[in-house]
Amino acid sequence: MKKIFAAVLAAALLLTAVTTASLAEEKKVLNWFIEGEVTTMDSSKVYDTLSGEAVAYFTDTLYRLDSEANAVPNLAVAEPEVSEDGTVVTVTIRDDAKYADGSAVTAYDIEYAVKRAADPAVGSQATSLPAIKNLDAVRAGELPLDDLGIRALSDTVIEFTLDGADPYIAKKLADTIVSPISEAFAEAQGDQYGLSADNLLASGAYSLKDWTGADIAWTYVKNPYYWDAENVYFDEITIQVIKDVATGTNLYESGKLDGTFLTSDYVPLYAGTEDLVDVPTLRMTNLELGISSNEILQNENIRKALLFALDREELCTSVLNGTAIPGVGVIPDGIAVNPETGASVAEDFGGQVYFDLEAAQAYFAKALEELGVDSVELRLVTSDTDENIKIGQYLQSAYENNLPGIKINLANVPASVRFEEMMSYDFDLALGGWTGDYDPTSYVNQHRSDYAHNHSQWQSDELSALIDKLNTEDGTDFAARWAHLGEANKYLLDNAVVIPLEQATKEFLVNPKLTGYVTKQLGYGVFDLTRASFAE
Amino acid sequence: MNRWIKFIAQRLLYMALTLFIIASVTFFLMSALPGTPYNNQDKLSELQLAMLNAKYGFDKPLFERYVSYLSNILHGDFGISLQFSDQPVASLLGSRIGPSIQLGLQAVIFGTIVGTIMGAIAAMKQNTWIDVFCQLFAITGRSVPNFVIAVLLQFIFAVTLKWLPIGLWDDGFRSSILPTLALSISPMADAARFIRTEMVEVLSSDYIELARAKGMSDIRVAFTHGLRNALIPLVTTLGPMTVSLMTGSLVVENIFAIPGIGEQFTKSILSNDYYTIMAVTILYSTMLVTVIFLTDILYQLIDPRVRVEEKN
Amino acid sequence: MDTLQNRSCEQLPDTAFRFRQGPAKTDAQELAPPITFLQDAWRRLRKNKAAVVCLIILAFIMLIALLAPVLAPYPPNEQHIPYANLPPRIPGVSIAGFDGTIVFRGNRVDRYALANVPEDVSFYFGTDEFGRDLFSRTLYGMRISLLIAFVAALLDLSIGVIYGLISAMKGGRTDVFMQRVLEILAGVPSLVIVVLMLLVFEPGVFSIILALVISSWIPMARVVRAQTLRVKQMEYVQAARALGCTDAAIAFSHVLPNISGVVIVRAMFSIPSAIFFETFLSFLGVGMKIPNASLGTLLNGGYKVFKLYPYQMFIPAVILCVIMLSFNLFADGLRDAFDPKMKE
Repeated sequence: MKKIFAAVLAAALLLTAVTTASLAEEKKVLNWFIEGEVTTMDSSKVYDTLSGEAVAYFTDTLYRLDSEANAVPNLAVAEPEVSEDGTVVTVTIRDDAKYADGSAVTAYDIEYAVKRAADPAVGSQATSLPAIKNLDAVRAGELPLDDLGIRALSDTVIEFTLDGADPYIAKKLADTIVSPISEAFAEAQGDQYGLSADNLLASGAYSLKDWTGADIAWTYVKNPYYWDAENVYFDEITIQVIKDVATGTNLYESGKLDGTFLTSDYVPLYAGTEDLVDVPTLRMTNLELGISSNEILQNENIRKALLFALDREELCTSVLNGTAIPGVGVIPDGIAVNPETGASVAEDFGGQVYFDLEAAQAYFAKALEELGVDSVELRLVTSDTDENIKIGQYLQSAYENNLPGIKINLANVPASVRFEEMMSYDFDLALGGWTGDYDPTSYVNQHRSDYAHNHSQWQSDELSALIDKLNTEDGTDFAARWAHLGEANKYLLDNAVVIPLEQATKEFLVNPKLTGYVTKQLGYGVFDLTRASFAE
Repeated sequence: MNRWIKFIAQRLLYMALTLFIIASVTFFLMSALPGTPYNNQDKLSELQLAMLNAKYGFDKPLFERYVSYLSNILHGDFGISLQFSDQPVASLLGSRIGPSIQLGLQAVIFGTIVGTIMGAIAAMKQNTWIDVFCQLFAITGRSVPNFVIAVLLQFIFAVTLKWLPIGLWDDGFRSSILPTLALSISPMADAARFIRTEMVEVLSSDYIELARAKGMSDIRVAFTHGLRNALIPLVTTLGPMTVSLMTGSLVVENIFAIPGIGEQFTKSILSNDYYTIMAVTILYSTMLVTVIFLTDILYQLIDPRVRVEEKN
Repeated sequence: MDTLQNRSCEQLPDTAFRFRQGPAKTDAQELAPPITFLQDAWRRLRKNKAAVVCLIILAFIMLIALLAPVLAPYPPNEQHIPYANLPPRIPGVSIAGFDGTIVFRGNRVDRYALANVPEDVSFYFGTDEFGRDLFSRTLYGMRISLLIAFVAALLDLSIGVIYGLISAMKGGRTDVFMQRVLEILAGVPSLVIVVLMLLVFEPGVFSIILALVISSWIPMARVVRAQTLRVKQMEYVQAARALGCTDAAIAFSHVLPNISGVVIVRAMFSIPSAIFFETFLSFLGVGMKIPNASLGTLLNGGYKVFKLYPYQMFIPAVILCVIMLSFNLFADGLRDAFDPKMKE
């Protein structure tokens, strides 16, 4: 056993030596960062943000998102053609697309990739596949892989059959999980596919280099066969894993990095500089209520007191230093607009979440009277990350100050423990949240009575019926869909089933010379650097 | 000679037994960890969870998993990481352990040498300002956590003076200087304290007076008698300390962006990556019992009074 | 043998027996009374000026830690968001760093003025990200850290020393067995145990102490065993054994005093280790119950914002250093005082 470690160690040392070889001068190199190790580079298995970000550099997607979160044809030549009932989606791909070894990208490779992601034998934990017909049955092994609703009609045409109409299908097809995997290459690699840079074949603007599984530095080199290679400026993008924000900023200031992330603590240090880049995200951070497991929380007035007793403006501006905006409801502002008027989520659904100390205290007094007690004690569980602990401490203090008689006990635990408590529906208060997909309904689906992630276990036929409508008949009627979204949002807030807190923005330092990059509000990773360049 | 062979054979047997017990205890403790190993579980369906459990064998009874795990280890198979999908644990650890071992060894060697010199000088110049300075340095070094030292070193030598890299592992030996210094503070302080304590004691004992009277120089007396005595407590603590430095200080590794093992282990526990926890535990324990074994042998060599055979 | 001796005793005339016994007893009381040993040690300790100064400092620190609720100007967990991250200001002091100004982005700014803090409100150690008074938090934090330090030293001196002594004195199979147990205890990652503790206990001082019980005394047991093995071979120990002293008597009256130097130094080292261990546990969410402070959590919070607000790291670091320095110098004095080999 020791021998194995010794051998592997020797190999690792050798590799480190190789990677430190110096680069030729005239190369255009971007020194970029990532916030942690990636768990996989196999596009079929991506299930976390960091992996998704890392994979996007070297996989080409059918559509890509622009900075307004619109899907733009990429590998596809045009918008998807959708059948009348919305369930059959046909996409034509370009005929000049090539992998990094020069072989052609075909529609069959997309069919292969999607089937691979759904294949129970592959065991992907990914959840980002669109609702393709028979997906669940295939995953469960009840139906053969060939019954999956995807079919390549020719080398350039791919057809998806969906469970129901999906107005956001183009955005979902921008995910790397539906990007091509060369069947010939993957089959040749066998079970080694994706385990290291050598076992991967790039379809995107860059190829992966020097990645062996758990590295903290690797490189992307330009793919000369990429169909849009002439618009790819950088010859090389080096990636460095940065976990300590101070180290990241020090490296950035010394010119070793062209970008790094910031935490809320560090934002004041760079506020107002041209280096600071601020990207709103569509992550909702909520205070989740364990209504089924805590009798106190079954009292509607106490939930309302909790909803109105928070000054979200203070939380976002002063505590989080502007790295968040106050939540307006269950659905994040900016994810979609009213299809008829163009009004935002905040404009149409806002106004239900606000700070009203007097009202909160009145609700609280009423609740105490109804419960027949003069004080309540609640446990607030948060993940043990710095930002979560920070928000948790603020909530504790704010509630205890604003609602005399309430006592909040903080428990900061590893994320997996928090999930377990929430998934077993046994908790009082939990600092949770939801990152949906491009579809605003994903933020309300969570609250359907029989859904596994209905953490509060709030039971309501009215709400469930509304959610069912959103996911079926509203797929083609956008106006009704918008109205029903508003109703679901209103229902959840009227009953204070969940307490929206804030919508995070992410802050970065980016070399001001860098232009042409796209920042994304949703999906994996924030930066799309494919067509980025240095301004001369 | 025969005695040595018997001693070593016996110790090796005990080592194997110790490792077996540690592996077993960890295996069962680990299975009691709260949470599941799947990262994305807030969106995985029941169905997907069941499939994954079947894939990794978690649907089997605990004891059956234990037996098959142990037999796999004996065949050199440490399983597949749950956190890093489908990557063999052995190769993951292998790719991260190099820098940790390098830093740990450098820190212990550098720290011990400097600490020993400081301790010896302090003992010989007892109650002078040199002594006071050495003691202050040693105690201060021991009272400040290494991440505070790391941040200060980075700020002074890399950010302000720009003599050394801020971080990253791409500049050969230069990259390792600051993290080594940060980690070496505690072995340095330990060495300085132990050496001074022992040497002061030895220097004031009767046989030193005798040696002096015979015309031996102070320095020679100090080193031949004092150091040898001081090495025993030093070796005892330095062994495990080397292991703990080699298995990494996660914060220091993060501060200098070093691809070491520290955080991987912490994260493997927090993310329920069972096979990585097991492999790291076994690796750590193997290193620890080996170091203890070597220390025991070293005792015999340093101090002939400790006999191989304790029983009469 | 026994009966023979008994018989011969009975045969002795009573007067002779009493005569010999009487003076021998009083002699023993005058020659080796344990109280004078302690008194002697105390006398020697008092002569060591550094140790006395440190003892006074330690007593002072403990006193202010105990009196934290009286001395703290604000409740330690009270947030006042508008006053977040104010640097230290001590009324009447105009030294940079303690006058409410701080260098921020290259300029020295008066953050009290920026935050519209009234003239008569000053935070001696500044405030943290929530506007909590760091002076009050430091006072309370010292309390917790000192408690943890004492528990760790106590465990070291009790479990660690006794375990090491027994292991080395008994030798043979017992030693081998006890060493294996130690190796196993040290080998099972304490992190696994600590995370498991999450299942059973809530974070807090109790969990920290429990975690210390599991692992903190192991290095001490090793050091004591190694030292005992060395001392065991000394002539005086062998002489004592030849005279029929029991193992326990040898251990406590001959071995322990001779290894006290190393034991005390080791015990002093376990104190910062315990304080850091607590910091590490707090990292993982099993240390101090948030938002309560300890020196460890203060340091931890401070190092993260070192680049912006260096005082948040320096103040707890300096206080920790002073405490450690006092402990160590005092321990040195203690060792010298207890060591029977020390000369006047």
